[in-house]
Amino acid sequence: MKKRLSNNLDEGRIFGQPALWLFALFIGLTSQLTVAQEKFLIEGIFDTELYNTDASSRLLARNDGDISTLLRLQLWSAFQVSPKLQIFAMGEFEFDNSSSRSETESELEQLALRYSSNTNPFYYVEAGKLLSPAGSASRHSLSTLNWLIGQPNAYYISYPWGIRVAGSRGKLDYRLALLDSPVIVAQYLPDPSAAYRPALNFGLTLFTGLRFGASYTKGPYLNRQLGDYLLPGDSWRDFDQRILGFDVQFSRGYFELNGELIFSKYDVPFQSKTTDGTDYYLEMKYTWTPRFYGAVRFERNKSVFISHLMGMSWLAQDVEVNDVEISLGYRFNPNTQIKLAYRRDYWDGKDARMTLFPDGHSLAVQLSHQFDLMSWFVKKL
Amino acid sequence: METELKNYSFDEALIPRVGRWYLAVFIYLCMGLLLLLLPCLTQAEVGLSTGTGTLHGKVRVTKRLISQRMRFRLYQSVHPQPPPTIEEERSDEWRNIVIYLESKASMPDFQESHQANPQIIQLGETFFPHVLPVVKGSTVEFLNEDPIFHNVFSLSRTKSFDLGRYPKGVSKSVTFDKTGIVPVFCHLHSDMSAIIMVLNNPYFSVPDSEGQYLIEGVPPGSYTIVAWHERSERADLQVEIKPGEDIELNITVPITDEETSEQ
Repeated sequence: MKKRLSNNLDEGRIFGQPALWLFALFIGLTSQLTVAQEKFLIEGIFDTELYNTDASSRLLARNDGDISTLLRLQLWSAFQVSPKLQIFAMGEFEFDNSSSRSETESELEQLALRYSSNTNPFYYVEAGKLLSPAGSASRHSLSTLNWLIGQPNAYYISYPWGIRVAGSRGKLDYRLALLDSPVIVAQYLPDPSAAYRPALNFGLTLFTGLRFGASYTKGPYLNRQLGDYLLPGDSWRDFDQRILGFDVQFSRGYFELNGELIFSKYDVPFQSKTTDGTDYYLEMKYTWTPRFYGAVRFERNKSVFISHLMGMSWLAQDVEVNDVEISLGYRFNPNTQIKLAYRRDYWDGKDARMTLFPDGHSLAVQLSHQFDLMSWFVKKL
Repeated sequence: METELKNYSFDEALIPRVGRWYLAVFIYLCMGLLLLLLPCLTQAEVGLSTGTGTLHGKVRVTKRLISQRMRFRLYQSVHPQPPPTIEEERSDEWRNIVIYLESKASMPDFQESHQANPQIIQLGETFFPHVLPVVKGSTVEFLNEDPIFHNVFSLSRTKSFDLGRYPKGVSKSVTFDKTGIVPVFCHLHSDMSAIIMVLNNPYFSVPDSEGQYLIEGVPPGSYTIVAWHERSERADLQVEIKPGEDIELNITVPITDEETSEQ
């Protein structure tokens, strides 16, 4: 149940069906140019998900509580221009029959040029439409990397345009980026307009298996249409989002742990104080046998909800929710696995508005298959 | 006098009655020892008295047989290690070939490794070697030489294992007690792969950096010589090994029709 995010209003016009054609053209052209797997690849993941949820939870309910399905195909392709230069693209096709989104969607998620050094310390530079480097949850968002089925609520996956430099030196690693979109939670904040901002992420690996990271980004999060509802002289660019995040990864033997803590501050029109949010999650996995593993994630969000109501009236408040998900996974082979997950959310608050946020639950099964499309066509000699 | 002789059998006449039990135990011990040593004696006989054969030659690799795949990850590691260049790997393509012998005749059970510490190293987020042939019963060591975690595993029917995550300088071992092909992967780096070929005899060779292979000490007999590469269809040649014979056999991988007809 991956949540989709349109990064900004301008982007929506560019990436619809044309994005699919562009992606198909890219794949078609490059496959004509080269057949060697050492220069070109097409890989993907096909997911089938089955849900049975409650009927009213804002976070988890699907298909009014009836069983629903989701089919997702993620395809990525890369072409090696030279040993140090690669161009890559990633697209997603999704069919979801839940009541709110009973439709097929497609999106070009990544399209970028990557320069990789062959030196030690190693570094790489990427430019184009990228996965946001904010936090670490998005780095294991693919179903084959995600220990559970759901994603953390506060860490929506976004694909801004920008440029990023990343690498490591000794125990330190870094990711420095200039991006055109903020990190937002869809439906909690207005859709943003493009505006470049820095995003920094530094990590310290104390010893192999234990890494602490910190990240920061600051930039506008409103859109230019909302500029009409601000005080004269104010610009939508004057209202910033600031995010300071910390993350930890630990692993040893058959045990793995990920955790993140994020503090966010938002400038809100007509308010002298910032509206603040705090989100954190902790997830753990243990592998019992080569095929069988289990995982659990606990998450607590105090998420910021900001909305323009009408005229000069704005709403800014926080919404608190606790969420827990537990899953069991089984690997049929290195490329195919199945997960069974139970998830439950608890919304905080005693006041009347909290009746709008009933607790919910979800039982889901996900079958994932990762494939190498090229290998289907490359015959043995 | 005649009567007295009838009371003694031939052996009783030669061996005192007290020593008969010792003789029986001694004979049984000798028979047991002989049974234990028989396989070794058989091999020794093959190797010393009748002589063994040798196979050697040059392996030529078709350029299209490159097992190197483009390395690309949507999400790079936090501490990415520089990969070996494709040029380096191309020159090493011989190392991904295994020349081995199969025999229809029954062969001794080689339940011990004829290699000194067969090992697969993880370096530069790559398994070295990519292909490792071993004799059934061998224990392979997986040594991490990268300053990051690796998690070596296989879900093969021949051998299923998961070594967990372990850091640089640490190695873990797996014993392969069934013949077959064992694809090996890393949970953390999906483009890392290796293949362990578990064979039932020690008559195999991996060509050196110049493509030369050598299989020594082959007992006389009829064999099928197989040149294996992960991207090549299985093709094989028949070869007759005679005592003391040194056969030169150059092989192209994949094996061509010409080579097949020559035999």
